[in-house]
Amino acid sequence: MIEVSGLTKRYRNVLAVNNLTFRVMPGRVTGFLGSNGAGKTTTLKMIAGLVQPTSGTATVNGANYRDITDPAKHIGVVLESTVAHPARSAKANMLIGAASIGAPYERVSELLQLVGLNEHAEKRVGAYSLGMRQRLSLAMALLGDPSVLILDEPGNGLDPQGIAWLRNFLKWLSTQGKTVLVSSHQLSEMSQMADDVVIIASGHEVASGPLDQIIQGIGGVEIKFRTPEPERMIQVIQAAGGRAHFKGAGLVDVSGLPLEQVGALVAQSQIIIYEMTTSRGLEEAFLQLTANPQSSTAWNAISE
Amino acid sequence: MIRLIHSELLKYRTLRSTWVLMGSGAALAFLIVILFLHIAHTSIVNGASAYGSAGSGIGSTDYGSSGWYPSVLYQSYNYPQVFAVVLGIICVTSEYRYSTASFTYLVEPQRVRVLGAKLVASVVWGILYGVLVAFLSAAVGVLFSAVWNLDPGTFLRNSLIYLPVDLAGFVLFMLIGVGIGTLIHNQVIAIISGVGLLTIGPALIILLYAIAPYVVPYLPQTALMALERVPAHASGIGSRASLLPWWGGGMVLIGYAALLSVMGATTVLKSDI
Repeated sequence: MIEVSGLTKRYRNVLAVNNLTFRVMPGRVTGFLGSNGAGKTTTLKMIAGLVQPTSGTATVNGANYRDITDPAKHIGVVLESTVAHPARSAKANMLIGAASIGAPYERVSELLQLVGLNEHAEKRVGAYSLGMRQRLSLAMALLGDPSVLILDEPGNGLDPQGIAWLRNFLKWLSTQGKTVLVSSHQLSEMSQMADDVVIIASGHEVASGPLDQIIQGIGGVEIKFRTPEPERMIQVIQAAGGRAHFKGAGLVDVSGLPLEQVGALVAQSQIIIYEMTTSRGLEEAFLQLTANPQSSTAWNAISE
Repeated sequence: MIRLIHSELLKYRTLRSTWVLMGSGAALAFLIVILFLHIAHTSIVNGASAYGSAGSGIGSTDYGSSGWYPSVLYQSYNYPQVFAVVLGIICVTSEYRYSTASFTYLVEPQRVRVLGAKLVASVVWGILYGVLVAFLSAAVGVLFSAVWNLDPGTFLRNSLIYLPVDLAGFVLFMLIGVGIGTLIHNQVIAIISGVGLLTIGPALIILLYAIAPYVVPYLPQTALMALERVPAHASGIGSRASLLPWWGGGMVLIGYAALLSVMGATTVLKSDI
């Protein structure tokens, strides 16, 4: 488990992170969301002992990172896509990592296989694509078989297959009981991956808790309908207090109501539907919450 | 700590620049030995006495005298030792240049231990590099001394006598490089500073000799000359300066390496990565 309490970092006149408090639970993927420059990387670096906090504490499994013996055996951290030296091969980088951690060398080929780089193991990392470097960074973080994983923007540079692979991989890790904290500003991706989220803006925490609760609290899921009766659909939804927008060609976007209520309204009104898709409205929640970060501290529904 | 040292040794081994710099240094030593032996051979053939003076400048005096062979060896090691400084600098600065420092410090958050491992690994690689250069210089020196009717036996004897201090020179220059790299994380600036300091050394010595002669023996290059027991009269830059005893030169170089490392460690401990 990761516990952050009152974490603050000030660089001269810039308050990069301000009084952050949240918990990341084992067996769940927690998305750490914020715009560029919101303070995500600084926070992760403070958790990993690379940046000294101005005040507050960050502990992993109850201890400060710098006080943990053999930390790489407990915590895997990927802060940048370039943890590997470009002039060395992937295998050489992994062997150096294994030597410093004390991991058996067999684990190197095992992990390169796991992240799909075994065929490129002897290739210089400088010749790797960004996506391949991300995979290598992930493999290096897993060298010590850690129970906690902290990843900073791991989806950057990954192609759609890579992103799908990462999503499934992190979900699988969480099912193994590992604690996974992933920072990102790719909201659609996070909405498919995260169980919990911590949202920050300008160094302030604006929300934290289970993803469903946060989305529900802000406006629920987004539902897209294709119907021959869009006007009637809009009337029914708006009459019930929801939001409905006509998108043309029979398409209506509905939000602001629980999914179950929308389903019941459509059934009662006997509106014909050709197509219905749902997406969790993380983007809407994020935009609303980060619009005024100073005033919003309402969503602290951290799961216990 | 053993794991960290093993990791740092691997870092040296798996970096192409290590082999390029060591190979270049060895090739330079090879060329310098041949050049000096050829000059000696040509001068003798042209009528200068085997023990006579011919010309002025570095290593050109008293061919065949007891002081001449050490000065040739000193010259053949001196330039490769500049590469030793660069190797030491790269050992540290490449971590910052390619952002591998974050992984290194994540594995071992006690940064002083990381620096300690780098210093130990640099000692090992400094010895390896020194042995390579010394072996090549001796082999080439003996071979061409025989070919050009000089004294291969004396060349070999001098190579063996001076081997320990020459190796110490390589090791200490590697450590000074690590110290510079720890202090200056920007690789380009660190290399320019380190190499610049050593290459402008002769000019600096002459300048300082005029204004503050008591400082001259404590400069890195004059300290190295003292350590390697280069006769002052056989070395262009040493001819005007009095040198420390060999152990004093060694102590001065150890002092430089220690001072730079401590200053660098202080910086690294405080800095955010």
